[in-house]
Amino acid sequence: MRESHSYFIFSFFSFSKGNFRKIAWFIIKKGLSIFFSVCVATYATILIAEQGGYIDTIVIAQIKDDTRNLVMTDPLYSRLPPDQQQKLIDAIVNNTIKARGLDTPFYIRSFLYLKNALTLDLGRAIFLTSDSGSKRVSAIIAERLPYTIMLFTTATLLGSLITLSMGLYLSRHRGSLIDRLIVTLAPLSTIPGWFYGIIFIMIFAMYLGILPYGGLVSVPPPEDPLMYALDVLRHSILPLFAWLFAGFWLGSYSNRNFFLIFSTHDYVRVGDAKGLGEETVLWRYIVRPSLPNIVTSLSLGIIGSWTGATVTETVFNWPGLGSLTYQAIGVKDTPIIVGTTVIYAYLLGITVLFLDLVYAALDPRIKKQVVGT
Amino acid sequence: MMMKTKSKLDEMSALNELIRSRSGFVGISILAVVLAIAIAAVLIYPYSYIISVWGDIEPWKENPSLARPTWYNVISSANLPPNNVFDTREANPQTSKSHATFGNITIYQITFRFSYDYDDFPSDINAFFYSNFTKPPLIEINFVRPDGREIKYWSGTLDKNISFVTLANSPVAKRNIEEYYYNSFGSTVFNPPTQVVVFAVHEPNMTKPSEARVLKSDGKNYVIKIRATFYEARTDFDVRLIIYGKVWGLLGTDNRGRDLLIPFLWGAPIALSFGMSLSVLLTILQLIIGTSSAWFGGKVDFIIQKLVEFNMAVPFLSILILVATFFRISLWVMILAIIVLSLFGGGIKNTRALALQLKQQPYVEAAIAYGVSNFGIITKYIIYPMIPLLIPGIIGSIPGFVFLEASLAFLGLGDPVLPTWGNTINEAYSSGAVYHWYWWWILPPIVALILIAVSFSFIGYALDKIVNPRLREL
Repeated sequence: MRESHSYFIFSFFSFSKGNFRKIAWFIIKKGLSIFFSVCVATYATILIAEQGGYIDTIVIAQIKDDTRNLVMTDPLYSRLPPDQQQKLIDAIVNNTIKARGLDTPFYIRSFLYLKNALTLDLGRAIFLTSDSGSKRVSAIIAERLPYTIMLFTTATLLGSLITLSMGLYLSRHRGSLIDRLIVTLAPLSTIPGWFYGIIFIMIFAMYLGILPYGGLVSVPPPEDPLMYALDVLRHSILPLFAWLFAGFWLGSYSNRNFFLIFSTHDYVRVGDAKGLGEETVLWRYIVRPSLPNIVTSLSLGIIGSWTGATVTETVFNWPGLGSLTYQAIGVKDTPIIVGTTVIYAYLLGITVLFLDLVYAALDPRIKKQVVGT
Repeated sequence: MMMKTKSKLDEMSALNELIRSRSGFVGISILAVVLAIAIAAVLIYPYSYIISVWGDIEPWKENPSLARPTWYNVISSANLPPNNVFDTREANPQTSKSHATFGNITIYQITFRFSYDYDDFPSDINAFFYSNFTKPPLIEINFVRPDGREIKYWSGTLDKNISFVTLANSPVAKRNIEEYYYNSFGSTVFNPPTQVVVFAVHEPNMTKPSEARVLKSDGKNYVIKIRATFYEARTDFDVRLIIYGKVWGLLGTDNRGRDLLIPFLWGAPIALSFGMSLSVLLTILQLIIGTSSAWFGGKVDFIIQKLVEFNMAVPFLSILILVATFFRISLWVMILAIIVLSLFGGGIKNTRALALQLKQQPYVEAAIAYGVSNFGIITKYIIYPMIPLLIPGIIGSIPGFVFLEASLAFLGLGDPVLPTWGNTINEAYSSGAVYHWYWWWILPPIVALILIAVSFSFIGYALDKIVNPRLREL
């Protein structure tokens, strides 16, 4: 039964020569379409920031900063009197502005900015620095991103696993006490994870005092790597739990409904009637046909976790992209805010592309459109 | 299937069914409470009053900061002090005021007598002085305690005709108390809480709020002596001295002394109008877009579907944060931004699918045959029958938008002049309300948000079951 699964999944990637070109073409087409979305989102970001009048100021301030450093540290110029140095700096700044096309009208400049953003040349932060001391936005983001992925992608995957098995269980035990309980409590999921986070902090950190209020590790952090890992784990319990709790009710409920709809199909009844056995019917007749939908909801969950994590991270002071955004908002560090938006757009684009590919691999109808046979 | 749903949906029977279902009943009861709060809010505090008062500092100067609700004294064994206000303009046998003029010097003597039998210390002491002087007068304030000791508390000159003077936290009072402590116990203290020392039993730990004991009156009085020296002949001088308590109002105060009843009540109409307007507007707009996509098909359909796909790859919250950061938006601009960003959201797929189904109905074909216009068919035969099917979604998605506002507010991007629940949670949380357990500050908005979420989603689910009979069978 497991083999048959993997057969279905990997048959898509078992290339015959003819298929390969079709698949490549499919990926390129999808990739281009999604890249276009990312471009538009990034361009919108630039337009919004420009409306606020921030981008030019940032870029020119950076050029001035760079030039000053260059002149001051160059032994050739460092002995010049200050007013001549200033003249030199102004001249270089003006030349650079012209050379980089910053004196051109906005509609031309905006595409310059777009190119920079898309190539992840995100400039330098105004106030914030990375832990290693760098002011480059891409370095700061690269340092924070793994923490977000570590916590929230885990949460989403774990959540899907739990709600899927719960849904499957409930669909097979319809009308039981636990089934009725989940059906009644499904509205609990309207309350978002960060909100449960605050409530859980009140219960488990403030009242019971058994779990930390937030952060990544204790202060001071444990020296032993194993203890360090355990400490990080301890700090991730509450945010993880809050996230899972928020998603659990509606997730289980809708998976239950979903599996119920699938198990009322005639072929399932035929399978049952043939005496195929509970296991086989469950995996081959109910789970397998519903895989495309499961993957869709999983990827949508992951997409939601990228952005939805912003507030949860802020609540728990978790040092990921979300709390970086929050810090940047606090001090109006524009390059970081623009940078995180671009990164989010990319992440989202990659996830959507991945979703399309897996979907095509799993759904025979779409696979047929792609591969042909 | 459509016909069956329609006949089921005479409004009365739907409403009846809603109330009879358990979750519907619970939802409607809670919603009634929230609506009552919203109406009370608008009636008690007019919108213009809220706008002018909430972001301001002046109106809250007489309130203690971080005071618990008054009813806390009833449920706890401790007897916490309320605000004690002494005003020479109010008649009171315990207040005396006299003045004498010697040439071009006028001296005012004011005494306030009061008893203090509470279990905790005041939180602050400040005063207002009113006089139309031309030369700055000298003010001296002394405390005489029930144990007979007199403490020199504050002295200084006034610089404005109506002046608000910080007493307990002023450097002068701190220095006076440091001196008093040194003279009494021979050791030095740094930065003592002066309002504690004045009301504490005379012992070495009297500067530590957690260890000091309150010196209760037990029949004898505390006396505040104020002496004002004017270097001119004056006959107008009034004082309003406030000994700030630790309980205040129905829901206590925040760290700026603001009445927390206001955000609790006013959060309701703001949340309701924000959630409802977004939910209704978005559903209507998506209904129109989805229907046109299904009805016109071809290129229109293609473009709309592409836009929906594109919308999925736009980081919604990030862009919203970006807009909010750069434009310091009000609640109404926020609504507009959210609509623009989620116009081509997932809802379109549903309405499109429904409209495609309806398009096949024989009565639509008939309508085309006898020449009804496109607009007529869309509105009368496609959109109109879809409305009841969309109502559960409209109601069910309201809490999502309410929490969206709360999320933005939590990130510090809420409308700064409005007392919303989200703003209150943000301020409380970032002031350590959970850590220090200022429960009266953080719990009311949390409870209110939970109530609003639960009520709308319960009603939404119950309605969904009524409108989609298929769900009932599951």
